[in-house]
Amino acid sequence: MRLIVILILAAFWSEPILAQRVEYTLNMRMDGRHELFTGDSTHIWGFIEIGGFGSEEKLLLPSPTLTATVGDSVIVKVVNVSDEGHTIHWHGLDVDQENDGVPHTSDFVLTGDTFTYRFKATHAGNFIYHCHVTTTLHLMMGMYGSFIVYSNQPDEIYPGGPRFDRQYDFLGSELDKALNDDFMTGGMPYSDEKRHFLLNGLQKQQLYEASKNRIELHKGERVLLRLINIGFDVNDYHFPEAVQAIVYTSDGRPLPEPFETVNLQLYPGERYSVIIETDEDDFKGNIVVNYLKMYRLQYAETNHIGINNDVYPVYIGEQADSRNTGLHIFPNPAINRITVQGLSQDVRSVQVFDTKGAQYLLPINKAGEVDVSRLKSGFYLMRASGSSSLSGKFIKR
Amino acid sequence: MELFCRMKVLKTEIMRVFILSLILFFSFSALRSQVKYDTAYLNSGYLHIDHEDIPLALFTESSRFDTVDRVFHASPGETLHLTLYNLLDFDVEVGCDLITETVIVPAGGNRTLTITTQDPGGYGVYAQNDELKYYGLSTVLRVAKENQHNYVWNLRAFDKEANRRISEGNTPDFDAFTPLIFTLNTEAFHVNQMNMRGMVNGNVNDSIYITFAGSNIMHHAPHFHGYHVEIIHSNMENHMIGWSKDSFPLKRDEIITVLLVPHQPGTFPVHDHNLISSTTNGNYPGGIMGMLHIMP
Repeated sequence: MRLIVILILAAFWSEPILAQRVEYTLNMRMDGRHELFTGDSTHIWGFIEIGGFGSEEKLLLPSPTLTATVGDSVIVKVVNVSDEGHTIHWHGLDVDQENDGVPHTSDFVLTGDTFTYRFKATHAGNFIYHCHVTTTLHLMMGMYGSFIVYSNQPDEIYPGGPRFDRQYDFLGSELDKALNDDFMTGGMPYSDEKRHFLLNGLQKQQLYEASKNRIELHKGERVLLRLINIGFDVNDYHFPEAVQAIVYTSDGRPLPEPFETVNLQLYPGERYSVIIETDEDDFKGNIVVNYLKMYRLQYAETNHIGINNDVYPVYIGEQADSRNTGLHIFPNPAINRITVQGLSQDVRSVQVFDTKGAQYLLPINKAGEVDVSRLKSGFYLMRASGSSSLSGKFIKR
Repeated sequence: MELFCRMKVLKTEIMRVFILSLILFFSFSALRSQVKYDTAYLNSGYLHIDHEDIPLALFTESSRFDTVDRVFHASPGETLHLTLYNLLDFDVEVGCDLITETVIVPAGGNRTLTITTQDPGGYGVYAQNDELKYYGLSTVLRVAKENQHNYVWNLRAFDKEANRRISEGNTPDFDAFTPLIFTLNTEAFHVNQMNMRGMVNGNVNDSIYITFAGSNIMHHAPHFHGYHVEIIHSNMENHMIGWSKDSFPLKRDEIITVLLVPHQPGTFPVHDHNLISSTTNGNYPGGIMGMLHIMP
């Protein structure tokens, strides 16, 4: 009888015992600096963890990734040590109204105030936390980070879900240097020319060279990618052909039917869990991430994530962006033929790369014309062969 | 005996006629219930938002212009005879996602569009010309049972200069398209005033259907606070049907219907997470933002 009573009590207590309490203390600050890939830096705001493992004194972009395990009670105390009011919205965690972080329906953490957010991590998956005060401005200034809810088993995506060997998080966002340099007069983030397109706060070589963002993938392994978009643009992921990518969850919920894809678009606020595998023994390649504007999905910029690859794919299109080399391609978009101006006479061919990294060598005649009729529709980067180092971008219709 | 036989035959005949009448009556009633008649006006006027006067054209309820989108309703299986009166000074070709035929409604005249509905969901009724569609001549036919919580949210992005050029009969420069005014049911959420056309009222465990229409050349990304919703229908090919989402793409001209079954009470916003669209001329909160009021 005593044994039965103990077993019943144990059954009732087991869940609360397994479900733990996760506590964070975050300072809200507006005094950070962030280094851009161009070498200069700009002003950022953000959240900084106080007293936690690995906590730093310096504001980072994005703010630190917070984690919990499914079923955990999460308690986050925030201290506003900045000159403006802030909140935290727990994007996708479906918290109650009091903890939702929307100033006109929830609470508002004024300068010098503290507030404690309390909620339960009910679903494993990828989520976001961000300030919801004047959100266009406070997001662009950097007040966001990832919130990952792990499954009870550390190597599965969700309870009973597929398993993985290794995982990486990629949080897409944008930054407008003019706005961040002077948020009082920099205006709102409408300008595309001034924007920086980021993954985990980094861009181009800066992203590529950070070893934590370089994916290690070996034959027989299953690597989980947690893809998150908190920006204003579409993050357009293209996986290499030698990589099998299967999408298992979206917005913290298992999909009714996981699916394999070579291309995945994340609209603002969306999150996905993708497992990648390869059959190649020594695979090296890149995941291409394009940024597309919401007006008509116009191309804006590209970042690359290396897989077993530490050689940054320098497309001279990027040099053209920063050095203004003056290469001119028209018509653009093109259907059958393009004309390239700005190349020296010794150039006899051009290298063309698609968004998956495939390369084509196309002849160019003396008039600077290139036949692109055999290329598939899409976006291409062009590099001049020979002695010239010019390049550009074009769209094939 | 003969009289008895005749009486029996007569009785059988009367019974037969009675049954036939009953069948005819119910068939007629059923037929009547599957046909619906409705009207709308193609109308032009101005939208007054944040000290801006934006010219536009809409499907309206009456011949007098107002800025409320005319939304059409039908039950699944119903045939809708939609008579459109064109008060504009040019002809407009109008179509619907559910049918391949279109009608050209002459300036000052009227034409009837006959639409046979099938599955529940939201379907577009719009001008076939892209400029006029962008100008505002794009609305929704909501096919649903009448006793449901049904809401239709029509999302638009306006560039005042583009609208002005269309109103003057010129072609807008969509390459330079820079929308600053964003609306939900042609109303913006203002800094100190909620958008009363973007309110959802319900209770915990209700089945609430919200149809989002992306009626312009921009894409949107609606985000729900407090809840996940199930994507149950799109007027386009959409691989997300059946997915549980809190943020999802709403592409140009797409009409998506989601099912919200609230698990908790509260007041929560639903807004475009392309946050520029959650402003009105840069003022946040504004633009495309609705509210959920869920009672216990």
